[in-house]
This record gives sequence, structure tokens and C-alpha cells, in this order.
Amino acid sequence: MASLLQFEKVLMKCSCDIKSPIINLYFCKHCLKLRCGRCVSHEVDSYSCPNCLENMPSAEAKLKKNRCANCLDCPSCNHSLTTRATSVALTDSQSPDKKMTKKVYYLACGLCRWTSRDIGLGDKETASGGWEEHDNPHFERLNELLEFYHQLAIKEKNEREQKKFNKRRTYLRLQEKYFSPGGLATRRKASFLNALSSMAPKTDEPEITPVKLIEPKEEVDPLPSKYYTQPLVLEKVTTLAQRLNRPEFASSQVEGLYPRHKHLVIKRSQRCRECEHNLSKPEYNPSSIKFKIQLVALHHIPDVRIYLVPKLYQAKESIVTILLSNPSQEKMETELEAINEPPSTGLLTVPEGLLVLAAKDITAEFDEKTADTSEFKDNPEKKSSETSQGHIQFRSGHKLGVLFKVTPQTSDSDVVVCFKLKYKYHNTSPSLRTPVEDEEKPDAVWLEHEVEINLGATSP
Amino acid sequence: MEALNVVVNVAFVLEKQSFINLRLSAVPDSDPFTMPLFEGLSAGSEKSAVILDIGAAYSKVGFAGEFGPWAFVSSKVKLSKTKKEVFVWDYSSEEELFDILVEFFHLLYFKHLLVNPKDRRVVFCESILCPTQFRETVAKVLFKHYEVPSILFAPSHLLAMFTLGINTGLVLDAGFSETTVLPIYEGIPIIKGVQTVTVAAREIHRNLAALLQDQAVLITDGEEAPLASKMSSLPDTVIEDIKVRTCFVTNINRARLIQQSILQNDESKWPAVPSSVEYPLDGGSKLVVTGKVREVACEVLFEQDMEEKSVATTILDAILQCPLDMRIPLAQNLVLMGGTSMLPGFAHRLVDELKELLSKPQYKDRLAISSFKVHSPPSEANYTAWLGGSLFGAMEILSYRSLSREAYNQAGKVPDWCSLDDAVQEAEVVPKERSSMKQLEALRKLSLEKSSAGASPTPK
Amino acid sequence: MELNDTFYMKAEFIETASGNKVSKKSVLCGSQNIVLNGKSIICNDCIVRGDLANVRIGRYCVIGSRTVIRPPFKKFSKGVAFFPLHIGDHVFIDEDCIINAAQIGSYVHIGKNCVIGRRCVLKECCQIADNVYLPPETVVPPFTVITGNPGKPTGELPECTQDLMIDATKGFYQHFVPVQEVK
Repeated sequence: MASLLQFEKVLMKCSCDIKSPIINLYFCKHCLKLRCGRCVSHEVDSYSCPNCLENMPSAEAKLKKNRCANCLDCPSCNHSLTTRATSVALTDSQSPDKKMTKKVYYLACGLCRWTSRDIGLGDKETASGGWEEHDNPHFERLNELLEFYHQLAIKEKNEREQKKFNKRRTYLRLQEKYFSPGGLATRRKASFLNALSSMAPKTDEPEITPVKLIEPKEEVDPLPSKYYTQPLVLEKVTTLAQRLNRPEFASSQVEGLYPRHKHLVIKRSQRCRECEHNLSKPEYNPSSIKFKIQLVALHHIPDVRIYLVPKLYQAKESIVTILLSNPSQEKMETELEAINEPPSTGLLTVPEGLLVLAAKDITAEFDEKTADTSEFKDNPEKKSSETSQGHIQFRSGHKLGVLFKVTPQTSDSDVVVCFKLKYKYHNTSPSLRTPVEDEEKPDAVWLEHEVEINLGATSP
Repeated sequence: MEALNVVVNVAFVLEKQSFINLRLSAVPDSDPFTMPLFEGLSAGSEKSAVILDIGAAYSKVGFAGEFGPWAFVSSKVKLSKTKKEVFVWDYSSEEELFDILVEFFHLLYFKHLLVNPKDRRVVFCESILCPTQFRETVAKVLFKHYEVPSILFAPSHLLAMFTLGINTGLVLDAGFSETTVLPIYEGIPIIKGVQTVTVAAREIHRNLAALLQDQAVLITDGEEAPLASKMSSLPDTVIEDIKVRTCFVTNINRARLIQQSILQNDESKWPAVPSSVEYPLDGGSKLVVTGKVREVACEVLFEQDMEEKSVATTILDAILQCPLDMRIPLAQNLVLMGGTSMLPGFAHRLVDELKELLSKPQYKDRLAISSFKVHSPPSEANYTAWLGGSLFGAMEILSYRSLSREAYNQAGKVPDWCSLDDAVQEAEVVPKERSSMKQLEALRKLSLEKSSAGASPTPK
Repeated sequence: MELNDTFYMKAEFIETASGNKVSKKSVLCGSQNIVLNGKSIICNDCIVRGDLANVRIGRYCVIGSRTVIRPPFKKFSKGVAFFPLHIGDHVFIDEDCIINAAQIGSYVHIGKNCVIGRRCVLKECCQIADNVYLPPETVVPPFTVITGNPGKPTGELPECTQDLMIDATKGFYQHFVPVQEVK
């Protein structure tokens, strides 16, 4: 939706000094700081299949190699495969005259029209399939290697343990140092033997069986002559992307393409790096859009939006309307301060003094809009806004339109203005307030963030 | 017993590359490492480590103990700041790289791996010529931003040996931007023998694009026109796809005939041309990829450049740099990895080229090798290094080998095999071999310059 | 940025008691099967095929010009059946779209010139960018941004999407102001 509301025009600086649109920021209630995607730590929260939207526990996800047990992808175009039902005529062996029809299932891709029949996979009698899985062609050899290295590792680990043990007995070390006859080499050898001999009786560790060596070949298979003589059918040759989908079974011919289980997706939770509190934690249900914890900046700090930009001319003052809106259900005092330094490319004058934003009324949604404004005409806050010398363009509900004076100082690039947004933040959740005596009134703190607004190019 | 000691050596060497030149026998006493701070963590059911291999074109990610990467993703990321998609290795400053890596690792962890970075150790497969700046920035991002418990920087060539269970071999890594050869003898990399050429996938793409631009015909609505008259360039993805699906490495005899034909400008000498292919482009037009283009595109790999270097000469030059007694074992244990080595016909042609080069004057009198043998790792060549990382990461001793976050925070940098700090110098360094480290540093600089110089004239 | 006013000819629109504004130039087939829950806007030249199956559209929805809303069908061995189409509240569908979805949750934004394939399910709080073709029977999970052709998930929406969509659709309704026809 960022595209409709053009959030990328207004950027805010977070605690790691990167400027991001407010929609991508989190507000840590505990540190009272803005955090962006870079200054929070991400964690995997839950696994689910993007096609059937079933949850999968993390242990099972690892076991299934991050793939869904039920859903399959097309090996040709990677779109999800669907199961098609069809009936085939069967001839009974006992009574050949009697015709029987049986329901069978096969896989088909709705995008590229690939079907499991293309590669000669037989139809299945159940809808869930039970499609064949493939093992790595080198499975046995690799297991041998793994076992061999495992033995080596155990041995080395034991040697280390032994060494640690030896170190403690300094007497032995000394003895070794002074009583070994030769130089360094012999000493080493001695201790090596020592290590082995001392280990041998204690641990009845099996002798390591070296992995059998596969002899290298002198004759390398030459390129088959069909490359020179036979025409190449491009449709039969797999693309690199198709091959890399299944690196262990890469086939250069389309007949070798087998469906692959759908890759899972995750929901992530975000955590503040400083205080380690969760900033965002989604609900477990994969199709839910709700959050258990959601400290997004949009819910806590005043939102700044461009309301109206007139045509801008270089070195000529224009008046830009900026909309401030209050996300909290208490009125909020704000103050602005222009920063006329690079990267700003225009001279900015902001309204002085306190600007008070009315509280957000969540019930206003259901009222008619007219009722809203009439209520605010009697609002005593109006006085304070009047004092700020006609900088207020309008007020509607929790939103306030303020006028900025901008003098662009560039003609070839976009006009960018920067200012500091200061506001009084009311910590509304009582559990976070430490002193008990303050329980009566919510404590408030002044916070400030740097804001950068891109007003677009100047007119010639 | 001997075999296992040596593999332990590989492991030792992997640990901190500073020990690459130390001839470690599996003598427990020679272990120069302080006890790891993380020992407590390593006990029991530790979560399997994350294995990252960030390639110039594609990145491989997955978990330790797995037999294939879980995801094969393009090494590029859309930056949230500029909304532009950039390659991870396309950076101009450390700050820029930091930003790219933060977003790229976020993508890897939360879209593909779906785990919390904090929970798992990292094995980072890197080229031995990986720029220090890149490695330092990776460490900074992973330790400071993602707070991973530990990282192991593992040279990819050594990891390839792990997948075979061997300890002597000559590893050729033909990736996207460069081809690197490293001899490894008895688990110890011969740094002196490192050879690199900036001829790999990118060079093939460049050649293919030029050939197509020069010769190809575009069919639009039945009308033929030269490609150059319709389009100034083809997108990189299309070039890559054409290479993968239509091109191959021809055999040496045909290659010689083709060379002659081009040199003498005599069409009749050209061997029977393979079939041409109509490659569909967006918008309904078809590109005719002729048999000549299909066959010639990959020839750049074996054409010698100004310095008479090609992919094949790197192997012989690497062997030449090694002591006499190592040469035959190295030649008998070739290991090919990297996506470019998966081109049809690559291995066969390479061996033929090597044999032919042996009869050339620059090698004839200096190398007494008569045959080559090629290993076949239990993986596709494009993720061999990753698989080695996975096997290594599955060992219980990973914690001993890794750089822990605490150690990093104390030192503030990654111990590099070029900069021996105090702690490392406690181990006995064979002084003679120090010079090779300087060489390596010079080499690293050279390769950087080369790649930057080579990258600039890329047709955009 | 606050939304600008959108003007419409007063004579061209019918305003219902519940605040729906429906263009007289739009075609509502089988209008007895079409339910608008209030304060929704249907712009010029839209087609809503209520004759095929029920179409229910929630509150504060905007259906842009020239968009076609057509309940999805499913093939059975004995023929074809149409299924009802439900659209939640605060849904913004831009111009020139073809919607064949089975269900569109609340707070969804569909960009210009999109084709939403047969029996797609768009969960709440998702966004389809401009010029997207969504293949049949696609499920779009919450907080997902779909781009490209065919549409693929490429991004995420912020946690406050619900508030933003309420803000935008209400704002659009408030700024959708009539002008008298000038002759």
C-alpha cells in the first residue's frame, strides 16, 4: 500500500542512523527509540506451507528439509501442482466383457501444462499420491565418508580430552621435558605414542576403518558423438534454473525432471537488540494477520505526511501543507525545529511554539465526519493552535494541517527538507512504569526524531 | 593408521590457514591451539552448522551432514535502499559490501535456510584467493550483525578433497570469474603452486555474446535479419541459458581442424558442422544459434592468452611448481570442480589438451609425466566444495577449528594465513616457507587486479 | 502523502443508501446475486458477472475502471460449475484487471492490468503489483508481494499493512467527490 500513499517521501531516522519510511519502523516502548529492520534482530517464529497454509513444527520442518509434505511444485516452471482426477477403463481379467472404471489421480501444472504423465510417472489410486522420493545417487558412498570422518573426529576429541588431562598433571609434563633423550622431534614422538598407548587400554574404541578409496580414472568418457551429428531439440533440454532446483539430481533432459515438494515460508518475530524485548510477534496461525505483540512506529509516534505541495520554484518561498496525525488516544504536544543542513536542499521555516494534536477517537470511525469537526470547534486546544500565528491550515479529528515555508535552493534535484519532530510521549502501558507512586498520572517524556521530506522537483 | 593421520592433517590445515605451511603430523603435542571457548556448547545435540558457499554467480547453502545444498541461489540481492539488484561480488567499498551482505544473508537465512543465525555455527567455503576485505566483511556481518557463534573459513580446494577421502591431489576449480588450480600433497596445500587464469564461465559468456552478435540471425515473423541490426545486446540470463542448453566442449581433433580453418580462412577445412538450433526469445522472435557457435563458444577455455596461459596450462604450471617427487602423484589425482567443469566434454578435452601440451617444448623437457587420472567426487561438480564443507561441518570437532565470536570480538579481525599474529607464532613456523606466503599475497593482489581489469570492458 | 481528490460526474453514478457508489457505465450482470456491503466504489466500464455465481464485496472496496470480476469455474466429469467469489473489506483493485479468484481477503491491493487466474486464493494483507499474471489455483499467503509474469512472491509487506489499507481505502472514498456536469 506504500505505493498508494507514497510513504517513501517522508523518511525518519532510527537509532542506527538509517532513514526509512515510518511504515518500516518499530518503536521500542522500553528503550523509547525507533528501530528499523537493520537494528532489530530477526527470529524465525513459525513454519508454514505457502500453498496449503498448514503449520509445521520446527523439528519436522528440518526433517523434511524445509518442505511441505503434501504440496508439490512443478519441476518445469515451479508453480504449484494440482492433483487431477480421471477415470480409466479397466478390463477385468476374469470377465473380460465386463467394463470397469477406476478413479486415478495424476499431477498437473496449471501454468505450463506439465503433467506427471510426461515423465512416465504412473497414475496413483489415492488423491494424496505417495509420489516416489529419490535418494542421492551417492548416498552409500557419502554415508561411508561421513562415518569415517566421524571416527576421526571422535579420536581427535579423545586426544584433546587426554591432553587436557595431561596438562593438569604438570609433573608428567616436567618428566617428559627433562627425561626425553632427544630433541623436539623425539619428544613429540614419545608423547604421541604415549597418548595412543594411554588411550588404548582405557577406551575400547574400535579401530578406525579407513574409507575405501575410489580409484581415479585414466580414461575420461569422451563427448558422445550425438553432439556432432544429431539435431538438438531445445525443448528436451532443461534450463539451468530447472537443474539448480534439484542440484543432487540435475538432469540435462526434461525426462529427468521430478516434482519437488513446496518450500516452506516462515513468520518472523523482531526483537530489540538493546533490551531484548519483542517488538513484533505474529500469531501462530499461518493465515492470520494479527500479532501478539506489535510495536510498529505508526501506532506510537506522530505520522508526518505531505498534504499539499504547490509548484516549487528555485529561490522562491512556497507554502507547503504538512499533515501531522496523532496515533495515541491521548492528546499529544508536538514541537518542530527545522534543520537547514545537508542533505536538505531547501530553506525551511516551521511553525514555532507548541502544536497540540487532539486524541485519536477510535469511535469516530463509526460517526459521521461532520460530527467530528463540530466537536473540535469548542475544543480549548484550538486556542493554543491559534496562538501559533496562523500556521494551522486546518484541523480534523486527530489530524492537524500545518504550513511550512520552503525556499528551494536547487533546480536540478528533488527538494528535500529536514526537521526535528519533538513530541511528548505518554507511556500508556502501566506495567512499564517503574515508580509506583507515579501510578496516578501517566508519565510523559519528550522524544525527538529527525524527519526528511522529499517534496519533489522544482518547476522551471 | 597412516591414512587417518593425514586426513586429520587436512582438518588441521583447514582450521586456521596460517598452518598450511606447517607440516603437522598428528602429534597431539603439536596442537598449537588454545582450548576453544565453546567446548560446552559442542557437547551433545548441537544444531547442525550452516554451510555457505558464496560463489561469483551462484551461492550454495545448506546444513552440515546433508548430501546436497538445500538451495542454489543466484548471488545477487535487491537492496532495499536503492531498489536495485546487485551481485554480491560487485562492490566498490567495504561499507557497500557490508550492506549487500547484510541483505544477502538475511535472504539466505530467512528465505532459504529458515533458521535463526544465532543458533548455528557457520562453515564458510572460500577460494584460497578470497580477498581479505571480503573475508573480513563476511566475518563482521556474521559476527556483529547476525551474532553467529562461530565461523570456519575453509578453502574450497581442500574441501573438495574431503568428498573423496584422499589427501593428495591437484584440484581445479573452474567457476564463474576465474579458474584456480591448487596442488595438495599429503593434506598440505602447496601454495607455491597456485595457478589462476581469469578464464571461466564469464569469458565463455563474453565470447558467446560476441559470436552471436557477430553471426546470429534473428527470425521475426518469418523474416530473417542479423541479430546486430535488431538488438544491441542479449540479456546475460539468455546468454547463460544458451550456453547451458546448446553449447559443448568439442574434442581436440575437431578443435584443431577448426583452428586451422579459421587461421587459413578456409571454410572447407571445417569439420562437419553440428545442427543449428532456433532459440526462442521474448516477443515471438527466434534466434538461430548455428552449430559453429555452439561448438566454438567454449573454446576460449583452451585458447592460450597473451601469456600463453589456458585452463590446461594452469594444471601443468602448478605441477611444475611442485617438487619432483610430488609431480606424478598429483597428475594421477586430478579433481575437477566448479560449474564450468560440468560443460559436456570438458574433462575429456582437458585431459587431451594436457597430453598434447606435454609434448610442447615448454613442458617436454621439464615434466616426466605420461598420464593423468581424474577423480569423480560423489556430487555434481558445481557443489563439490559445498559438500566437502558439509562433511567437515558434521564432525564433532568443528568447534575446535572455528573462530568463535568471543575470539573475534577480542581480536577484532579474522586471523589470516598471511598475517601471523602472536598467538599463531607460538607454533613453530618453518622460516624458509614464509616467503611463499609473500608470494601468495602478491598473487592475490595480482588476481584482484586482473579480475578488475578484465571486468571493465564487459559489454553492457 | 495524503490522497488527492478524485472527481466523478454526479450524473454517472448511483449512490445507494449504504454509501456504495456504482457507475452507471458499469455492467452488473445478475445484480440480485451481487452484494456490496457499503461505501464501496465501482468505477466506469466495470463488469461484474453476478449471473454466473454470487459475488460478495465488502466495505470500502474500490474496483477500478474497466476491471472484470468473474466468479471462477471448476470442471467436473459431468460439466462445469461456477463458485461464488468473495472479496473482503478495504480491497483496492486497480484499473484493467481480470479477477477470476475464488476468494480475496481483506486489505488486499491489486495493481493495474493484472490477471488473477481461476480459483486463486488471495489471503488478507497481500499485494499484487502492476501487470501480474497469477496462474490458476495460486494461493497468496498474508503479507506477500507478488510481481512479474507469471507472478512470484518477491517481497514482504510491513506489519502495519492493515492500518495502511484502511487509511487508503477510506481516504479514497472521502476524496471521491462528485462534480456537476458542465454543459
